[in-house]
Amino acid sequence: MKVKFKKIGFILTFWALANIAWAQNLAFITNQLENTVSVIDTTSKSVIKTIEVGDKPAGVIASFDNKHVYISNPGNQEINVIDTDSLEVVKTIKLGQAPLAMTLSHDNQTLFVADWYMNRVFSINTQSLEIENQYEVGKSPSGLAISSDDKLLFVANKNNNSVMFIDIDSGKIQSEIQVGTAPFGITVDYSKQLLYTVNVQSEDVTVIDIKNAKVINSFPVDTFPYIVSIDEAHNQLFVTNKRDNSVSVVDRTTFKEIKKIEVGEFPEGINIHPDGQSIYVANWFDGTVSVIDTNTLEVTDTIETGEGSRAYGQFIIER
Amino acid sequence: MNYLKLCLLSILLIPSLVFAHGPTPLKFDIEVEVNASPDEVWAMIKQPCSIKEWNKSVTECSATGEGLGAFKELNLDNGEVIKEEVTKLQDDRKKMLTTLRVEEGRVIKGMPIKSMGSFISVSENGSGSKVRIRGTAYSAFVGKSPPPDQTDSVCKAAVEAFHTKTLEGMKTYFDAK
Repeated sequence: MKVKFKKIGFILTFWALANIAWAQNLAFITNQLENTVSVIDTTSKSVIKTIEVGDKPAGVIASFDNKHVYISNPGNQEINVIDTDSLEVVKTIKLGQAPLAMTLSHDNQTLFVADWYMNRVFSINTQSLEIENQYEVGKSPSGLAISSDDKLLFVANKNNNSVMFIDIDSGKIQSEIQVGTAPFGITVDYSKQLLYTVNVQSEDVTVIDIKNAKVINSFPVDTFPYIVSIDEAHNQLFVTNKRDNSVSVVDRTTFKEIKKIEVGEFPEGINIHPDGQSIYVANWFDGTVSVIDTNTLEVTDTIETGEGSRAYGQFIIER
Repeated sequence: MNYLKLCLLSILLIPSLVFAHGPTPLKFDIEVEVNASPDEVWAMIKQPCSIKEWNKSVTECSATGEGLGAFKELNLDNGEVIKEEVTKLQDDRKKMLTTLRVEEGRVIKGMPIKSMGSFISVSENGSGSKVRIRGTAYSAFVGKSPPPDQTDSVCKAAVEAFHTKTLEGMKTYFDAK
């Protein structure tokens, strides 16, 4: 009996160690001013590879199966597909005039890309890489997200100060909701069924109830805010303030500010790490990534990436 | 006009006040060493029209207010007018953000940008100061094929040239004092 326990203990220890060794989560940071993507190993917090991509890479989205990362390049109008095993661009699609924001269906079958100049969202079959549909949206669609059932697209139209709900099957605009001035990033809170739209010029965040397609709240942040990331475990929201070099931490229930954390200069893309213990922020001006501890709300690490780090989208994968 | 009409009208007017620009922010970062104390340099930077003393391209300057919210109009030697507002002021860090916006449809000759956010900051440098202007600008042209005089590189060069003139003029000004 005793021996058996020892054996189980040994196996468990081995399993845990093996997991630590194999769980290599990666962050893919688009560097818009040097046409590369920095791949950060989030365990060692170091860049393990720099991948050449298209021109002016900005948007990024990791597939739900963690196998691919898509990069949007408004400079030469292409989407690059990166294989997360080989860390190489395996495919490229030409598209539109200025592809920027992206979202992906939860079955990984359809990639949606908003075109900044064409006021349109393309849907792309991720197997064939063919364009399947085109949706007319508002002016300068800057933020894009998808509902949990993959039936609705949420589009932030920067120059209409609105968020549109687009029915993916019919292509119809189901609702158009006025938000603050110049909405940019849009983030879905799946467990609360809320949308957070960050308004660059009115410097606030609009909270939308998805079911009723209604604005239920808004809260101020700081200068030139960009996008929200959700920390469910601590019930807080993190918002990048590009021209304040800070991240606002906001209570997810009361929408009151808990703290403002100084990060690198001109922070843009922001993601919660899959383990919920840290937040990654890409600093455009510095070409760095700040890592914030979600418990202490302090910056624990700063990682050098590349010129113009933007990482606009979902940029961390689990491996 | 009744209230409802006014509301409708204001909704219609909102989009025209919003500023369209390209998807790639342009970056600039220029620094100069100045022979004066940070306090002295900072005090002058905060006067909205001090730029006229430094930047030879600025022929006239008129300003309303001072500090946060100060608004200025600069006449340039090529006949253009640019408008800037102080949108952030951090006295403790000797750092200030000035935001420039260009009305929809207007292209500034020689500097075809839509908007610009410029941080100017002063730091200690031996017995003198270092003054740095850094920030981001967006080109005005909307579309993937801008004419040759409105490309991102033209915008970036123009913005850098303008800020360099300010900083070099500042150096000369304090050297002569």
